[in-house]
Amino acid sequence: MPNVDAEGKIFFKSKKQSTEAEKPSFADLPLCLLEVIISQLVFKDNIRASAVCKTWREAGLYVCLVDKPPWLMYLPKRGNLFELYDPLQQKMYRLDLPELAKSTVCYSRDRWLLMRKTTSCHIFGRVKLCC
Amino acid sequence: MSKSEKKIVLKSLDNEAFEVEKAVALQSQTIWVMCEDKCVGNEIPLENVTGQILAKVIDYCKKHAVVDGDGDESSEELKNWDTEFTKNMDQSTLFNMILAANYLNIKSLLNLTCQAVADKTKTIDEFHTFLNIENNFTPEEEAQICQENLWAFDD
Repeated sequence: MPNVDAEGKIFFKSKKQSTEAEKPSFADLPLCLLEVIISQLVFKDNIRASAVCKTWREAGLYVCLVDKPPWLMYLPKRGNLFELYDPLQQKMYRLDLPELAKSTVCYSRDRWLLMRKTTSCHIFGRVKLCC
Repeated sequence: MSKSEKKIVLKSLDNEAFEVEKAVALQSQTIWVMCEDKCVGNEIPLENVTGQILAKVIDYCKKHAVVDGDGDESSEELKNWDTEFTKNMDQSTLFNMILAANYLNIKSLLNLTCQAVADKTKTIDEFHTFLNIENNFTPEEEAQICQENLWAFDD
């Protein structure tokens, strides 16, 4: 509701309203444009983007569902730096995953990896690759 | 082609007129289709783009009309130019550039501006503040999303 000040001019009381007018919300972008932004985020930020708001979660899920070629995963010879290669964007992602050190892949299905630590047969680590 | 046929006038939402080379304007697929269908004269009204944004779009198209298709060195130069072009754009300009690139159907500009937004946002807080997006999850929903991919939220 507009308010009237002492001089009779109409103004908007909420400061937020005026800053919002200057600064548009990216949540208002059409879904197809959100997908372009989200698909250009690097892997980790892409996952984070899904926690921004409901619209972005929807856009993120849609990008995830698009049929994409499988990624290549390079296991580190030493250290914990796992490399994931996305052939579509020709991007290499390096993830520091100490919990998966000295692990080998036993099985892969539906974006899940079943991994086994060589030091112990009983501990299994799982990684969900979302994109 | 006579000199006048090589030029085209683009008119913004706020009635600002820009005379540009046809080759520059035709990088927009929307304008290309309009010209191809001969549904416009030499003056094209662009009702969704303000003069301030259109000026930037034209800068981009001018640069890309000159350098595109040249050797490696110029493509490197173009890449640097692109980085500089979006580096100091504020949030509102980026937002409107994305909408303009989409409306004018200039794919490389759309990708560039979307990439610039992607580069400027790293943390959840940056998504909320820079992009001015309200968090409309309940705390429970938010916790569940973080839990699903814990490693992505660990710093």
